[in-house]
Amino acid sequence: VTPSIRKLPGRVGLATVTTLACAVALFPLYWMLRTAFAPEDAVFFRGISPWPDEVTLANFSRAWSEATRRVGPS
Amino acid sequence: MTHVDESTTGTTVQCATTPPDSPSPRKPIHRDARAAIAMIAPAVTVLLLFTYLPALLSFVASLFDVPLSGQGWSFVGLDNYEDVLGDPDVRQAVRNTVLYAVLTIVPSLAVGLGLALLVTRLGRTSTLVSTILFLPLTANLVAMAVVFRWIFALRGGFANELLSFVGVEPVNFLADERAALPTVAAVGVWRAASFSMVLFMAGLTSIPTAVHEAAAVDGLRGIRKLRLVILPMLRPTIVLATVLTTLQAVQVFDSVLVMTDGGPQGATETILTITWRIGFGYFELGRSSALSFLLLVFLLALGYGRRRALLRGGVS
Repeated sequence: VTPSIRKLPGRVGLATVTTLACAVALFPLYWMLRTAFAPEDAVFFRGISPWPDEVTLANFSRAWSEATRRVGPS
Repeated sequence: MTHVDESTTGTTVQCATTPPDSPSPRKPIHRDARAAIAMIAPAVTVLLLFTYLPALLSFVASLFDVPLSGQGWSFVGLDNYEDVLGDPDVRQAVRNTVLYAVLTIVPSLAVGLGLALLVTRLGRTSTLVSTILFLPLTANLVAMAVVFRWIFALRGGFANELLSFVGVEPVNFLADERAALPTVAAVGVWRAASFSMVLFMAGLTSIPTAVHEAAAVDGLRGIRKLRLVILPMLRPTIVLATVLTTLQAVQVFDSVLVMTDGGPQGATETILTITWRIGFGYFELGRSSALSFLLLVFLLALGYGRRRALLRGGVS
């Protein structure tokens, strides 16, 4: 057994733990993005899919118009 | 000022004992002091105005019955302190805060240390991975709390969808009295672990290479090396991380307010949320000030304790 093969389980373990840690760290940020591009009625989960069925930019335009209406001149 | 040094070869070397760029002894010291005062004055002014003055005002207000209008304060002595210390809601908030701290501090320190060790073992990808693992700390906590509320929602939340996928009944994470505080604490761990990781990474890099080499010569590896070499060398970092994580845990506010608003039945009410509720919900500003002043005293004691712990370890 060569040294590189002997080290393989350790490397696989390290890669698995690293991937898991990164997934846990990133998941809420990914979920925020997913929600931002989903229609309002699809905020909550409908089956396991990485991306919403329908992608929209309406949330951004609505957030922008509401923010400017609140802080802008009346 | 110079002196003559005669070397064994007989050559005479003239050496200047005063470096050319050192200040002249004739230069008045008070000029430097004035410059120093001018430079620290803005920072000290901001600190006095926005930290010490509000703390002082809070202490003064805690001795008065303060009406909402701010007019006609009436002196009540230590009555506000007696009121808040005898209030069962405040006691529950203190218990919840202690429980939140216990659920947050130890796991976040352990996970943070584990992540720091993991990152230092990675090769070329260590920069990318440490950046990804640092992201929870940079994210806005209020926005993240909203996202976590969706993730832990009873219907349609990702956590419950995942549980149903493996055949487990849905859990009302945020409305169940037993589950709500651990759920909020999990969000705290998600964020605090990232913070601890950064501190431990800095601590690990300060361990000299010679120590690692000596450990390798002694045949220390893995858990034994961690226990006998790395953890003792990381002691100042561990103390610092513990105190800073405790400060964050005791002052938890945003995530609780957004995710549960202190509910259900006060199960997630913490010291800061009840201080805010007493002050701006019930408009009892005197009682609210008394509670916030007690918290300030606790935090100061914690800071003093940290200094004592570091000094005991021979670190100033």
